[in-house]
Amino acid sequence: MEVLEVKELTKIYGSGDNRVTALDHVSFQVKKGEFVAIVGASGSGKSTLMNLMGGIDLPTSGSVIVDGEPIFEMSESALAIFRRRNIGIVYQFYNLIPNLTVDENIMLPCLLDNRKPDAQKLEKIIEMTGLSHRRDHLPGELSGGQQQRVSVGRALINDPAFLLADEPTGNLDSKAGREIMELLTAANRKENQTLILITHDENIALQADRILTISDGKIIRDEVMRV
Amino acid sequence: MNILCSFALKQLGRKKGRTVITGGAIVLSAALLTAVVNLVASGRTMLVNFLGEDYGLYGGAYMMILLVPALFLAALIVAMSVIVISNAFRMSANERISQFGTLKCVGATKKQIYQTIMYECVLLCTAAIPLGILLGYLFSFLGIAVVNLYMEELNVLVRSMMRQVNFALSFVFSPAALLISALISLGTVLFAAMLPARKAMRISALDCLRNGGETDTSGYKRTRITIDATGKIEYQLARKNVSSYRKRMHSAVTAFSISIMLFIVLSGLQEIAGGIQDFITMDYGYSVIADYTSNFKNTVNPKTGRRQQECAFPITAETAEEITAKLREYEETDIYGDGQDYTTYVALLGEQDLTEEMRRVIADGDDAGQSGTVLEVERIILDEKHYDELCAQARVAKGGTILLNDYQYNDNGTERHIAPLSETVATLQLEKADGSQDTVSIDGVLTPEEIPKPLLYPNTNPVRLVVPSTGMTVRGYNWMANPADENGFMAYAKDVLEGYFPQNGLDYGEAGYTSRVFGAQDFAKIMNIAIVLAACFLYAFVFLLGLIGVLNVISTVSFQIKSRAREFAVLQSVGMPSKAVRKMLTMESVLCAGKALVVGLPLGMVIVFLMARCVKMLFPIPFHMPWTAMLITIGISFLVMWGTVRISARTLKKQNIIETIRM
Repeated sequence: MEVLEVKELTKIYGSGDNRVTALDHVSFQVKKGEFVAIVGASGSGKSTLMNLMGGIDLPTSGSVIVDGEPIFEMSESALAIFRRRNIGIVYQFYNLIPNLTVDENIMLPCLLDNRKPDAQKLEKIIEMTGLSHRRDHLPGELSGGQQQRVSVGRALINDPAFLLADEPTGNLDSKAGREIMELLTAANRKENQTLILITHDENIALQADRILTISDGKIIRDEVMRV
Repeated sequence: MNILCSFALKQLGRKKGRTVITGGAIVLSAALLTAVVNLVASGRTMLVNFLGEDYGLYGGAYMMILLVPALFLAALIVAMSVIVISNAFRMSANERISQFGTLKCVGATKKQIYQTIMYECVLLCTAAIPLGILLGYLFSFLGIAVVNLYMEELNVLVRSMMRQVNFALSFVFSPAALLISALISLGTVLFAAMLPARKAMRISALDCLRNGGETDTSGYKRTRITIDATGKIEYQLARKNVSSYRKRMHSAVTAFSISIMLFIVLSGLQEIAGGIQDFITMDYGYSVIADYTSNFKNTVNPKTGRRQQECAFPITAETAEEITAKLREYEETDIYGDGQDYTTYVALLGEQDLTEEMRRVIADGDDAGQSGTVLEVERIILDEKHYDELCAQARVAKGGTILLNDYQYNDNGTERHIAPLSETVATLQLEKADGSQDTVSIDGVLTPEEIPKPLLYPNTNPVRLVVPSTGMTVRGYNWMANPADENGFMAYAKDVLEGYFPQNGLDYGEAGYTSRVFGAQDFAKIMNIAIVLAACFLYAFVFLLGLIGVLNVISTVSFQIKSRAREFAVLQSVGMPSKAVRKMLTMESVLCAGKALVVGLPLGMVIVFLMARCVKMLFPIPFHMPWTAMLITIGISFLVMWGTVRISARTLKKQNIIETIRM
């Protein structure tokens, strides 16, 4: 069963002489529980693809269907609500809210829905991220690895259809990077969480079930690493 | 607590400095609005006490004296507050733009982003508006106390001239005024916050993340200023920065310009008021004046259609002379008695009767409504002694008519005196409103230099004749004196006049006439008190409004310096000494103050010039631009901008260059 379907996705920036085709008719599908790595050189269109899959940018043409819902047919508000409930995003630079505690940052997507998350779910995520002793700390009081774990926790709190991670280890030392990858793969293997990871690190990509290679805005290779 | 409310609360706590400054601006704004609304309420109570519930004949007084100025002041406060408070929220939104990006990425809707800023605003208002209202009441209380200090003196003067009045402003607590103040303040702040909130909510999540901390990327403008080796680099950079960041400094410069403009306008207004006061101060050469004026009504003669005046109780020359004699009995005081009749006659004149200058004035239409060669005539009678003296001065036999050949008019703001009738005029053809005519021979002429001081005023009619008093009745009569004991004479004169014209405690004009005894300078004193009160009130208003503007400057400049910390660190890393960075900032502050002055000063000067032009159409007053106020403004502007930059720049010293660059 596909949780994500990308159809003929095209994104063109600028016009005339400044016209740049960042994505050129990209199509692929991601199944439930799959771990997909998207690799490519700098400027190949990886981040544009991620922004479009996450519904935070609009395509020039094409569509993204999440759990059967074409997300670009939704209104801006409906898409925001859909995103908070169905898509988890992890950024390279954590993007936490500096004045919210660890708990509050993790709960943020639920709080935006004016509801508290299931206590058990929160406990499970806190335990999973190993931040039980840091729950009342602010992001500024945490190491980079810990901040990224908060970011992963936040992405997982609503059991999203898929988790998008953009170079999640890119800003971390190797130990912290390893721990983050363990966290993400654990979520994928144990919780059957669909994971789409953007990276240029070959070792990280090799942990995925499938590797999509992108170049000049096109998928040039789609390799299944394990079934 | 709602997460959005929690965000807002935390943001307020995190940026304590700006919270205090923004809160201060809201407090001042609410205080000024409350003070204005409360003064209207207090003023209305005073007017009702004075004029009655419906204000009688002065039905428009409430609107003109209270509501129109209050609305004007309120509009100024609201405009200034919107600029300043909106700027504060814009800076707050700018700082958090990457947060908004994160929030949007995790699913916050546009509305939620909007609500985050509005919560911040509501939280600030919850604390600041009640405080502002309290402060506003304190301002009103103090203002009213100051007004009442002068009011007693004003009452004494007005009582001696008009009626038993007791002007006193009382502190009025009106729930309606309270509600109005609170609603206007809240509306102003909400509207001010709404502008940046709407802007922030419209930015896409991607832009928020990419620009990390800058809502408005158009805040950086491309500029033609190039950096070369022709001058000191810090000065060249300062010029380029001020040009590039003009949009970011726009609100601070605008608020500053408004403050400058208001100060100049107010100073100009005070100069104009001083000019009017000097103009209406009439130097009769006497210190005490007793007068009698009959009530009258203007009607139109049914036969001729001409305006005529009907006096209820005109005074006869004999009665006036009797009173003059009685007043002279007080310590042998010399009394100068004169009575005027302004409306009985017009003079029918041929072209040859008028001087060339007068013909030109008539042609220009500056002759107070005269047309052709029909000019209004003022007939003046004097007490016997002074009439005799005047006859001797004019070399006229007793019983003759003397022409005071002086006409004063307003020549585009300049007071001019001309001789209206030519030297050849020996007789005048006078006509009454009913069409009947009389011929009067001119027996003597006095030029402006020869006219005694008491006869110089009011000088409104072009043809002025001193006529023998026998058989004359006039509408009003003045008795002027320079007694050694002014108070004693005034009490004595009041008794004498009361004997002839009993008022029986009736109010001004209620007996069909009015008789008064007052100091010759009392009108000027009243006007002076009014000017002092108005100046105190307006200067306090402009000062507080200016303070809101200064708070905005401090807030904007410190924000700009903090947000440009990385830029300064880069400059230092490439070898610019910190002293040169400070010089650059000082230069920027001078240029920003200069920009505010370039807008505020000319705008203020233009408004002052236009006000003076309008006033000069009514009063021939000399007028000068308020140069001293302008110099003070220039000094204060540079000082405020320079001081703010210097203090804000001190925080840069503590920063580590490498850490700042990595931020």
